[in-house]
Amino acid sequence: MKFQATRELIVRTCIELADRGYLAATGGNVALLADQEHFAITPSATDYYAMSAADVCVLRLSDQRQVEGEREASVEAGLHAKILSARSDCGACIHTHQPIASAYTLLAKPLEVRDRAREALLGRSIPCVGYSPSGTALLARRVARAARPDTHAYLMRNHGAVCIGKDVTEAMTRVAALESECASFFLMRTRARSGELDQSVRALVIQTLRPLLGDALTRFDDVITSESKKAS
Amino acid sequence: MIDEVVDLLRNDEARLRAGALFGDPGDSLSLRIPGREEFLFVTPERCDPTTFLFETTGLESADLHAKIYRSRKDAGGVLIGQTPWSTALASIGARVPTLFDEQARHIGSAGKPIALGRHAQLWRALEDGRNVAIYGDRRICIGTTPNRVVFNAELFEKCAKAFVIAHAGGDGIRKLPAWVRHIAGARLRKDQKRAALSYALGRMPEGMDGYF
Repeated sequence: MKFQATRELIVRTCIELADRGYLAATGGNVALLADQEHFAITPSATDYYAMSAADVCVLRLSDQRQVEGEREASVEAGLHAKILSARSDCGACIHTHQPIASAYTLLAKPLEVRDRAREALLGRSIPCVGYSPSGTALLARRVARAARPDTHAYLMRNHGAVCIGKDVTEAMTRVAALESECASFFLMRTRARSGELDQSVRALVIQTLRPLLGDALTRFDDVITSESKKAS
Repeated sequence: MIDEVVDLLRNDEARLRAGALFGDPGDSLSLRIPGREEFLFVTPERCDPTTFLFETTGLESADLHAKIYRSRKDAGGVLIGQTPWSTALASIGARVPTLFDEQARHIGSAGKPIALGRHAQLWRALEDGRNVAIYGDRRICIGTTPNRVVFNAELFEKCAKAFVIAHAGGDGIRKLPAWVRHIAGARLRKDQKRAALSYALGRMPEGMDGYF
């Protein structure tokens, strides 16, 4: 089997992403550069817990012609190819349906990254590209057009996110950082709406978001406090 | 065939448990046995799969499953139970919007939460082809195959979580364009017809696991 190590790495990455709840059902996909001319990508319509390295497809970067793999490649192969071509410094491209970032895509606006550590990982402002159906050339073009050297995550309206990195570890770190930044945004908003929201719903949301913040929580508490002072 | 369905049910149960989508008191899961007017049924307390007839179960928690199989010829699996997000949807009480492509394609509209005891409303919703309904604070989740019921449960959990969190944030939420919902809905109904035909022929439907 050609590119065995890369294909096995994709299998392990997908299981990790699925365990963390970043891939709902068969949604989301992962692509890694296999060499200068090829990339490996998850197959279409596959249960990630049942996927093997032989299922992982290898495509030519230039025209997305499949050269290896027993299954049909993900419908988002074009999206991954365009991003990997646009960002030649990156070897990994992860498209997730991670729930908090997916919630943020419903707002159809860029995400301003307020936490410094996460800004270093993701970039200052994460663009949200307009809606296009999954798997279409239009979606691929929109994301590729949004690609910038200093921005390492992209949101797709009513869909999900794409995070890139020089390798899979860096891209995974960015997936987690993006979820964390979106959690920070919603936590601040939800806390500010104490009188307007059903209390049980508010408590559930806060209880869900808080653990996603890690040590950034203190910094956001500071932001909330200063904003409250300004408001009062 | 029954042994095969038992294995599938155990796989579904294990995966749903691992994702915290099954396992609380009041949860129940079942799979249709192709070619027979029967289904296999488990609850967290009743771990050994029990076979019930569609016509009568003699068990209150299985009755709703039986009625779904009688009225939905495409239903290959049914999951009923509460999650924190289904409870939150019931508390919000508003129509659950269709927000994502795959939600439109595999679940369809979940409509407004239905108050417990409003049987006629529930049946109208399910007979309309919905694969998810919020009934009381529980979600009823239907799939055309053993895999699909798990995928739909995972998918709906993500959609519910995303919607509740975005709703709590208070900003305007953008829905999926109507034309996308229309096309995806037509594909879903086509899948449901194919599944009903397969079950009528005594076969497990194939090709239902895809994203599109």
